[in-house]
Amino acid sequence: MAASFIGARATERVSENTPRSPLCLLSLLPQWPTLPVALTSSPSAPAGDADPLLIAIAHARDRGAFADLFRLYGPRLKSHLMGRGADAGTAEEIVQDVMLAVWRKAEQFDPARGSASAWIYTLARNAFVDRVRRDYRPQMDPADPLVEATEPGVDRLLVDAESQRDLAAAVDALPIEQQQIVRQSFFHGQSLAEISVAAGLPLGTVKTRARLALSHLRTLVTRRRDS
Amino acid sequence: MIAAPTHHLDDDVLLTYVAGTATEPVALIVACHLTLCALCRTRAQAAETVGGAILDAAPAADLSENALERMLARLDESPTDAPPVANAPFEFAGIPLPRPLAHYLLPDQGGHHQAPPDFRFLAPGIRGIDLPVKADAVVRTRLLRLAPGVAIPRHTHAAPEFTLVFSGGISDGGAHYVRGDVRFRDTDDEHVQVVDADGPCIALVLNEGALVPKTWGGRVLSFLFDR
Repeated sequence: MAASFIGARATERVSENTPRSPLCLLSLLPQWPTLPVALTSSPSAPAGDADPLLIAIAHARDRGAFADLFRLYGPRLKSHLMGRGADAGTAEEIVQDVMLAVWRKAEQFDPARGSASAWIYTLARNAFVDRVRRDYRPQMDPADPLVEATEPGVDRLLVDAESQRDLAAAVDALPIEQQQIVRQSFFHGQSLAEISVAAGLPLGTVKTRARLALSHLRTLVTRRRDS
Repeated sequence: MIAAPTHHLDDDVLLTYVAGTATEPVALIVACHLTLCALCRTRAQAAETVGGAILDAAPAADLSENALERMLARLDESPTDAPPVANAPFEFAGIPLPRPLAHYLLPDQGGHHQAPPDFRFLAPGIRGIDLPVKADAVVRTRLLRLAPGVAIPRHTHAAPEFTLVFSGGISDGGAHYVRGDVRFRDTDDEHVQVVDADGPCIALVLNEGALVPKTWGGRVLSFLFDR
């Protein structure tokens, strides 16, 4: 009894806060939109191409490399931000902010901590939360001395281009119900509660699928440190 | 070097943090755990790699004609100076705490830090500071100070609960939680918590809803606790 009351209240709360962008309305349809296009069939998926450009920017302030990186990521960032609910004009403004941050912070990019696309993704996510949602989101500070003081973890991240391609293929190969959760989260910026309401699924089911998807994908880009 | 935590975050929670869809209090729990846990940092980096793969696969949207020229013209803008970063860990109540908490414990009021807040009485043996985290009214995000040996009577929760221990220890359902350990309890998990007898425990506790007491002692506690 209590559980169903809570469920009803949660539903109400989520539907009030659901952003009403056309793309989000699309996602309320019973059939999920198949966005973005399949990862591996994308004509110029730049997995691995961006890392050397970013390193050239960091080491030589290379404007040519920056222009190449902008051509590679500007258009993708724009559609990514629009997928999250920004209008075209705002998306383009954020693209400029994100790429300016890439130029200024290129030295902070550490290939050992992830791919260039992962780094650019986090900059875009932060810029979107700041500018469009106008929310504060607490984030771990990598410069916090407590970070240095922790014992190294048992796993290490694989950062080679082949692992990146395997990962992209693996997203495509996920069972469709897990793939939808990954795309709705990362591409449309929907919370698991919003996804569960849109799909008419219990939140617990959505959480379980999210866990299965991420734990599977993680195995492709991490290895035990001793192996 | 402090022993690595043994109780970690679930993948669905990490996914929402990395996708930027976690609520502010959940993001705070994650940011603080990641500060203390190298294992989960690598897991979060793997999730960021998934975000990067989703960005790489995003369809290219047309940018306005002069987007690249506008971008290149901005590269010489002088950046607004970032505030100097301290090398010392953030300390509060005599304990080094993850930096994301400083935002809530030392709110910056127009360049002047307010006096640090005091732990207030919540229930016998339990003192807490309500953190000014943006969330629904029923959500409570608190830094708790629990006296040695305090037992929290048997209860469940109307909504999930996260606990992240910063000092001392808590036993709960046969498991023992110490610095860096995070514990997630879903609504229907009935539990009793006992603080270690050898010292106080400081923990970040997020209750997404009220306590549901299972004993008279618990009823008194929930009345006090949910004020």
